[in-house]
Amino acid sequence: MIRTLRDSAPAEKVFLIVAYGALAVWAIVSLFPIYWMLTTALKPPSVVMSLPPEWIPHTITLANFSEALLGYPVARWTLNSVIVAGAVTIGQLLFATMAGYGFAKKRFHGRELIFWVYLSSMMVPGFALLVPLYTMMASWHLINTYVGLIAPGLTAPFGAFLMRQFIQTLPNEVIDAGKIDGCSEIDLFTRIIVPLSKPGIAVLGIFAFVGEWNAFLWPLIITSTEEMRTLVVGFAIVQSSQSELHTNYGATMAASTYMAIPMLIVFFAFQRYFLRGITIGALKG
Amino acid sequence: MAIPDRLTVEPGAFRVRRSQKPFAARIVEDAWGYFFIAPSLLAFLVFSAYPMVDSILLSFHHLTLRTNEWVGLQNYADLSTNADFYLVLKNTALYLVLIVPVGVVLSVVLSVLVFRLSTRAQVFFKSAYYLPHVTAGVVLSFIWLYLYDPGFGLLDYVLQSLGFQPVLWLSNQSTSLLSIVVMYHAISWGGAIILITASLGGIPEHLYEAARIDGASQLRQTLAITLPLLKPAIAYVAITGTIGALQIFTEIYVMTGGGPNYATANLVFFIYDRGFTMFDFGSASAVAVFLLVVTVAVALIQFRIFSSDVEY
Amino acid sequence: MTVESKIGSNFSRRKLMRSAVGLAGISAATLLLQACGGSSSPAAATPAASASQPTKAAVSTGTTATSAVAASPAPAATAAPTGKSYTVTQWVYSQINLIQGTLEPAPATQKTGVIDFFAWNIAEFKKVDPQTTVKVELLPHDSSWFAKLDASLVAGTQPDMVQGPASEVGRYVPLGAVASIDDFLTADDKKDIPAGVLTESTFNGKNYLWPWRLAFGGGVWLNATLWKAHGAGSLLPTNDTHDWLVDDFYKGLKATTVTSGGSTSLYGIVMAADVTVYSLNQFLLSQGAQLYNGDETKFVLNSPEGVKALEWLAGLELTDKVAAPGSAARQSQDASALFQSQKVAAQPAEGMGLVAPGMKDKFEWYWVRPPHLPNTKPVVQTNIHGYYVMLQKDTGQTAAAQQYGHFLVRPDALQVSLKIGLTPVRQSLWSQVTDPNEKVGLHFTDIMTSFGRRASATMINFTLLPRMYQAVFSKQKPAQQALDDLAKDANKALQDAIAEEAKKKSP
Repeated sequence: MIRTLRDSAPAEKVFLIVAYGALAVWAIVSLFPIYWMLTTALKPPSVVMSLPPEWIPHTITLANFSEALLGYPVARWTLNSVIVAGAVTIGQLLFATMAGYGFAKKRFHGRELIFWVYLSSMMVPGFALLVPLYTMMASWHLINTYVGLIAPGLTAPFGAFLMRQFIQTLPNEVIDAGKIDGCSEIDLFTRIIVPLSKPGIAVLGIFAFVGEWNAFLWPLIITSTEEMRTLVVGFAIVQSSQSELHTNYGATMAASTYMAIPMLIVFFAFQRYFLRGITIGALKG
Repeated sequence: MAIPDRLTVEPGAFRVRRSQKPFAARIVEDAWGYFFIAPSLLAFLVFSAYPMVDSILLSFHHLTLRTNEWVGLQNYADLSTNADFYLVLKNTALYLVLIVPVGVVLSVVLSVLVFRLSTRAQVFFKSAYYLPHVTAGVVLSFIWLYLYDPGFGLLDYVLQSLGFQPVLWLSNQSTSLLSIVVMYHAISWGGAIILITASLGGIPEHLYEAARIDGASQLRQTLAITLPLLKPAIAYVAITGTIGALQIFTEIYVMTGGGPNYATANLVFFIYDRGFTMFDFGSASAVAVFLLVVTVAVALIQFRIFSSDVEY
Repeated sequence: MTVESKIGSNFSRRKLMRSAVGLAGISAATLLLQACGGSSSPAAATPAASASQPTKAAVSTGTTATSAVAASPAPAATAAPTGKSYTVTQWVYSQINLIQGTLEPAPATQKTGVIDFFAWNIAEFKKVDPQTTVKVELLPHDSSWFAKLDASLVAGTQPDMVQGPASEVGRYVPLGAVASIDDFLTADDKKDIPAGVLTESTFNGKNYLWPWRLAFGGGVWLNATLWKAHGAGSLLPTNDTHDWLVDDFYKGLKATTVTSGGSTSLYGIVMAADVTVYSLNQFLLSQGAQLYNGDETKFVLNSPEGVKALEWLAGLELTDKVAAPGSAARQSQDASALFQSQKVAAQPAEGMGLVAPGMKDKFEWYWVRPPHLPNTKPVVQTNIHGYYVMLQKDTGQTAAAQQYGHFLVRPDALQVSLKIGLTPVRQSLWSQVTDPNEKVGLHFTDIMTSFGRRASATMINFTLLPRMYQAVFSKQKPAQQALDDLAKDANKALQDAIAEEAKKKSP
């Protein structure tokens, strides 16, 4: 499927040059914010807000990083974020893959209806669910607990939808072959479906982790002590006010840079699973 | 019909119509189906269903900070005579139309192009496109506000040095919505590209080989093989993209606050204003229900368009 | 938003949560709906009438105060000991570090030997009332604040004390969620705090806010360095109050607008038509217009004076070109950035203390009153910042919180605000102000007007007024029409609010 420029016909060549030019431009547009974030984090506070901005910083300082990272219980917040995002990701991977398989390959009464009702929960602006959820958690004494932080993240209709779409494309012959070989339902799932779904699972893993890592409102509402805060919530204070008088952009950018790192780690760890996709070598013909 | 002896039957023949299966087999099949969806469904029922039902019920009440009375369809009737409602409805439709088709096409085209590159290049581009998603929202809004700043921003600076008049991107009601749409496109499709490139990897090589042997051109191959097999992924991008487009809020709020004078406000914004500043929760819920219905309708339509039981 | 938007939101920062509030509000309402049969919602459980009872309860458990009106306990010391220990939770958004052992604010870079302002207050309060433990939670003061507060109110886990301005108290008082401070306010307090301040936080005859400092929705920052450099130095007001006329203001704006070859490198002023439009209202109010009539039953900004003033204001951008273009969509922090980068020479500002460290040295910051016409008086809308007490089921707990509230606004604590450039409410401290800009701020207390006292005020101030300015600045409507439309909507909201209030009074 890979064709190099050399192999193409001349007309195609022109098209490809233009196309890859566009690709590059888009990449620059996409990369620019992170460049901006990094350089602003390294600028001294007094030049951060200047207009026109310094595209290339004249002086570099680590003051913003030390202010953002040393002045607050960042280690604890990081731990919380890792626990919560990690648990939600694992939970979603499990639940969503199961559900995706169920909706994609299993036939049962009411499958489509249930699927659509389930999906429709994505179509209500999420914040409508906030207060009833909180009240529920309060009555179960789950305020300010890890369970309270993690549980609502497990509903994941997006995840189930994604896995359904992905698993739909898996050929039925593989499943049938498994059945013939005497696999139980669970075995079919764990030994055939899951390995074949690795790219989809990897994509979902990234989306789930990034989404939960960046979650703000629910963690803010459900926690009431500083020790239970996640990074995003904790740093919201850094961003919103220094003595309620002005916004400290430099420190905010430093904090944002720090927070981007785990997401990048997860991204690069997972992306090798879907880079080349899968070759269904198991099938012949 | 007895269940075939598995040792003497080849794959494919094993597929029987569900309606022809014995009752017991169907129950078992049902049970396994429910088993696999159970965890997600349970979470959904507990954490989503109940609040959703609540919101729907609320739309039939008049609830302000102090009163609470059943008013039936009054809230909906009031909306139908509210000029602001139609304005935000129009804006919402505009966002939808300007974002989803372009976004889907863009994602697919970029993905297909990226997928042809070497592994290293692919990693680079995919990472680049995904980066806005790990970049904090405050960074993105700061940058784009600067880009669009009418007195001193980058875009107008470029325009002026080329001899043009500066444009009031965000302050002009004719350009503000479009400006937000452009920004949205620039930051939103990384996830879609990741997903589509992953799906591209699932398309068996031998299909392309067969086509090449038959003499099909690159374009033909793309149209006849790639796109159809990408349908599930494209469906996902289209539907989730639609949901996202119908529910844009942050970008609007940060860039223009819904202005100038509601020129960029959409239904979600309207919900916020009615619920928060006007304390009319019943009316706000009515708008939310309306939005839900619209979203489901659009999603259903798209599902029909993209549906294909691609079993091969 | 893309895929992640339901798994979480990656644009999820402060402002985005406005939506969350609206819909958190909806869901709060759905639960009020459920609870309308009674039980745990605070609206049902604690009618405002009982707001004065907490003091009686606290007193009756064994103190020696004779009358139920514990109106004059000495600062916190004697009223508290009830034999029961309470935990008071407080939500704050201010983050001030003091140099340990002093009342001096610590410089931003100092991390050791500092103590947080509230931690210090708590430690001091412990000495006075060892029975009560205070826990403080620091949160960002944006719309997520309200989402959390609303959620906690519905679930019954609301904090005891909340930091906030009078405009926000007004949101919760009609819910019956706030405890009145009248019984804990001493005669000394009433002498020290200007009457206008106390009125501002009075609703239905009761006072609900422990006042700490003033915030002015008005005043204009000028870059005096630029004004002087462009020959407008003589126009700057030099009297104590920095009071001056529109004419001089305008001349200064013209002088500090520098255009050459078709492009402008410096504008006289920058304006933002977002939710901070109270900084624009001041110009209209100072040129003879008014928001409301005397008893706040009618919205009257669309008077001839109002129209004329609005035309003048809009003209600054649209015809005179002395204001940076794009006011209709400009956000206030963008305006600040422009002012701090010296791209504009004036910014209508929220109030004192807004100068970031390191900025004060860049140029000469000059704070002035809004200019007025020869036959009008300057007026600025003013908000009082302080702390309000939420009602709890345990009235003793509320009483303990009140004691703490009173303690928080003692002269010592207010001294701190003085030192960071914020105007404390206590007049006894005003003589200590030395900074000339801050002194000007003190005189603002003579020209205060309210943000609006009725339930409709929030919508009028933060939705209707901004939209009106946006329409005018983006040329969607001429001034007269914009104001007339605004008056129509505002009066409707006002009438609705008045009707609601009347309903509440009748059984």
